[in-house]
Amino acid sequence: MTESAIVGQWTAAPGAEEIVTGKARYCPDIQLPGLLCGKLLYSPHARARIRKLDVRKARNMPGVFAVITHADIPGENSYLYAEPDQPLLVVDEVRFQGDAVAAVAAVDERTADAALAAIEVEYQELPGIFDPLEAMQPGADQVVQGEDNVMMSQMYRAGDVEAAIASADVVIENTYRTQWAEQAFLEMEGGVGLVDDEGGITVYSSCQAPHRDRMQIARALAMPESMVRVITPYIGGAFGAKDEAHVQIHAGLLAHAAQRPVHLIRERRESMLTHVKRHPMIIDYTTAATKEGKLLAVKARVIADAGPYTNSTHEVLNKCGEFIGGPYKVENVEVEKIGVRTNNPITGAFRGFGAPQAAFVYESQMDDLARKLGMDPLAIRLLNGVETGTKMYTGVVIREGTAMKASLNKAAEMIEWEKRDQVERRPARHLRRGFGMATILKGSGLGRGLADHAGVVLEMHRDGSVVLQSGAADMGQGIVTVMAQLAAERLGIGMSSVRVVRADTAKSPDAGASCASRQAMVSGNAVLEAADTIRDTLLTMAAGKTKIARDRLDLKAGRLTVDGEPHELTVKDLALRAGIWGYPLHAESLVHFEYPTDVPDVTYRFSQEVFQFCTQIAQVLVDCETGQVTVERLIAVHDAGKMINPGGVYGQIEGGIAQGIGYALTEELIVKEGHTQNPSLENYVIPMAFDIPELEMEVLEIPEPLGAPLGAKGIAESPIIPTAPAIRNAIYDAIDKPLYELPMTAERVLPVPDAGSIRH
Amino acid sequence: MHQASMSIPEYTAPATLDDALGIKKERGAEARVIAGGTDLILRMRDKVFSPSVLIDLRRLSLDGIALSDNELRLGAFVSLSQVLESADIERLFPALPAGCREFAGPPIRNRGTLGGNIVNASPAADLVPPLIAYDASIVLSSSDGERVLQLMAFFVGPGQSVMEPDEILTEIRLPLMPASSAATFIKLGQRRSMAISQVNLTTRLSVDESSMVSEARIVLGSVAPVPMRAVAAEEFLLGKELSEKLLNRAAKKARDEVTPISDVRASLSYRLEMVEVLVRRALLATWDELRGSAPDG
Ligand SMILES: Cc1cc2nc3c(=O)[nH]c(=O)nc-3n(C[C@H](O)[C@H](O)[C@H](O)COP(=O)(O)OP(=O)(O)OC[C@H]3O[C@@H](n4cnc5c(N)ncnc54)[C@H](O)[C@@H]3O)c2cc1C
Repeated sequence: MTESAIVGQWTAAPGAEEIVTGKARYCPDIQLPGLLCGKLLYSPHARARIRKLDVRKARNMPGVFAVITHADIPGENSYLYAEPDQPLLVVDEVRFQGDAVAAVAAVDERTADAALAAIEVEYQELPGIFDPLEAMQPGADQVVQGEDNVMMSQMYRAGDVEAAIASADVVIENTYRTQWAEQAFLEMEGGVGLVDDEGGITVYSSCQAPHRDRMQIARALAMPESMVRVITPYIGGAFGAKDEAHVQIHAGLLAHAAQRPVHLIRERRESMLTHVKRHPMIIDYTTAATKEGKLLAVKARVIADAGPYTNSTHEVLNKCGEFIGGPYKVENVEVEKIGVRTNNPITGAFRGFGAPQAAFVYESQMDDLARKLGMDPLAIRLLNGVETGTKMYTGVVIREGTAMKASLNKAAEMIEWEKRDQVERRPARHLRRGFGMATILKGSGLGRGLADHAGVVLEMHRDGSVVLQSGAADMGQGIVTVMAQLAAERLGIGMSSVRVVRADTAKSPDAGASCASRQAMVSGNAVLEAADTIRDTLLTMAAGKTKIARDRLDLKAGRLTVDGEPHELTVKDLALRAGIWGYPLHAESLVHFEYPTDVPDVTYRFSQEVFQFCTQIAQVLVDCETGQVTVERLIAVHDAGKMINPGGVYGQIEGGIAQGIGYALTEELIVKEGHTQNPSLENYVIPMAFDIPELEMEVLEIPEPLGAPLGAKGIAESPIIPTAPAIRNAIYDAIDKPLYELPMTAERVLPVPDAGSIRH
Repeated sequence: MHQASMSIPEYTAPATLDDALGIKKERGAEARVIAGGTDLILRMRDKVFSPSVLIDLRRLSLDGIALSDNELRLGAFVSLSQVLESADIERLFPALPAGCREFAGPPIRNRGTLGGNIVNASPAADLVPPLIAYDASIVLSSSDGERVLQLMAFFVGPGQSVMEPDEILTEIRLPLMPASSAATFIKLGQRRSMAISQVNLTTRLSVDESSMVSEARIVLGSVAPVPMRAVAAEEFLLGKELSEKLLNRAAKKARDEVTPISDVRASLSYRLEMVEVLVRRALLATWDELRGSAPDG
């Protein structure tokens, strides 16, 4: 392959200028003639029976165009991500603070508010079920009548855990707790619905999965999917919370009921109370090892508080269990995964799908183990780390695992790990400095056995410009840039000659959800395949015209090249010629992520097989009197396989670490009896610029052999995963106190064990 | 949980203070002064206030900073950014800009005003402890005249003050400090910027020729329904010679005087503990500075 002109270069996102100058249109910016304001009436209770729901007054108000309840939904009254158990509009019982009972569309916001206020609802409050451990007890009151509160209970076993524990020199057992975490995307959930010329429904949706949205909207409307169209405008962040549907189905229902366009945008408070959160988990974890530090066994029981409905609890627990042993060689693994219904907030996808919770636990255990054995945290990780060819306990064989140890070594080198004791550890009487590391793995792709495919349509016009249609939603993570780069690279044209049509189900083939760090791989491959078809046509034509052998020709910087030297013919010339002579410069591709067939022993369901490895090292300063933790340095070494857009890769790493610092230290939805106490960004404390040190990042480019375009693999999820355990281990190092609960707030850091020495 | 849309009231920007006071006289609490709006707009959104008219005083030149022989006068509309730009304030009342530096971020500091921070009467207001520590007094004007009172006497409860519905805060006055006086501001929040204080405080100490404490101020926010002075701790310090031990004991006393609550930002016990830690730190820093600024070094 010749040197890349575009791939691997820092590239501004198409539309970057529109975004930073405020011209880009997000859902709230969409203006249509006669646009109505839609609103949802949410439950004020965590659990209550609806005794009476009367919308007649609201319906008769002037300026009100539609008021709908469950009775007015033409089709299925449920979301459908995994299980259809969350109603769009509640029938008889609200089960969490975010359940919706009615929807209105009115001429303006004030009228919509008045209509909501005019809806008569009589609730009979019921005692809720808020403690997952209590909810699991036999005979516990059921959150959903007739359904076991334990919505999921799976045991996975590899090897013989009990025997390994019995033979071990050291056994470390701890219980960990993690919190509800909020994605805190910039743009709140939104949808704009309208009735199109043929009586179908079009919805602009701020989402991660436009084609799944289309399915959900169609089944709610009892319309064929062919009559429903979902368009993604610009999207201001999602982080998993927009993988599942939110208000876009209601926007479609309201537009249908009103026969007018309706916009439905959540406010921040509504947003924080209603969408899925990161699952809080209680994890009992046992690590067994030899006195030399070799891991023998891992045993874990993971209990996730799912809230009342299933959402993506299965997927989250699946990934949590899959990576529960960390990036280590350990043969004996037992993990019990339990999802429990409660009347707490609903939970689901959030960057990493259960892997951050798992990593907090396995990397904390690793440091506890190292301490117990008097070993260096780096040495024990290198001793146990996986490599290329390692067969995991899941049966998956790691095709490319160099980055596990390479990232550890590189990160250690960057912070001068072996010299860390020469750094001042007590810069003041009350301050303690510490260092901690964490190394993780996370898979990309949906997992073995799941339909993991993406299609694109690519067309070159007579002037050499290209339109690329893809169903992959770009929420800001940059898939549009990556796809445009790959097309431009292969066709020898500039980025400005490629126009990517943002996902629109009427134009774009299904690319599946933008989740699980998969789009750059799957849609990336689809772009390469389609571009190669057009490239092939152009080069074949050029060979015919120039009488030069086809294999000496290439396309670069807008020109045909011969043996790498520019030829007088341009891509434009070739495109025009193709048009005149009737060669089709049009290609469609549908790419499936192919799982290797030569691994007969894969025992873990839906296992991922391309891995993101990374190591982060934190240097923290702990104020022993206030408990405040300052992250002074953060080293991050990540493997991207091959960077297509370095700016995008570094951006993902920076953003992930920022979220990881919040997850580690301050972010927590405080939920009392099902009621969220801090549904605002005033009191849900995400880190700001001053809370994040200048990050020291290094990206390894170790080409991925398995189904990765030009060797590139996903990078979106891994950056958030090691941050919390790295900080935890650094705090442990600083103050000699291991923490087992997230977030590690100042109040949890206190009291500091040797505080006596700083007292006055 | 639903938040109703905010109703937009009438807006006026009178040309004279008399006009503004006239509207206040006529419409009382229905009329609200809008300064930077950084508190007011949120209160209106949340329906805590639903004024029928907003009075903007921007045409009244209430944003002056004037230094005289015995005091500094600050107009109620002086913004936090203006405080930060003033060399006089930095030199004479450094704990006030110290509070401004840890306040929100630049956009809010450009809009937010001293008067707004006071009248909003939040127990967590960051600029109130330094102002009280500097013995600030304020001027409340109405069409019947004006009254001057100690800022300390202004607050009644969270969001409540002695200001009458027909009054407007026009000025803040800070008497010049004795030469051997120093002050320290400390804010504890859950993050390093854009934080609502878990505890905030200002300590100020003055010493006489024989190095005995002649004045002591320990002013705390977020630990009681209103900003408060730890009076017993202050009195304990008076007439004594500064020492680390003395300041430790004063900090312990301050802890016994506060009456914090638990909320989403901090528990009661954490706040109590932090009052002791931070009062001690602030007093020590103040003492340090007194030693540093003393003529004999
Ligand atoms: C993002 C953000 C961050 C913030 N961070 C901080 C922080 O770190 N520390 C902190 O203490 N506060 C903070 N605040 C709160 C707020 O910014 C301050 O209290 C600010 O000083 C208010 O000033 P203002 O001019 O905006 O007041 P406004 O909102 O205009 O007014 C506040 C109240 O005072 C009344 N009022 C104002 N001026 C007068 C007057 N002259 N006479 C009579 N009544 C008057 C108004 O009617 C209103 O009731 C923050 C707010 C936001 C939105």
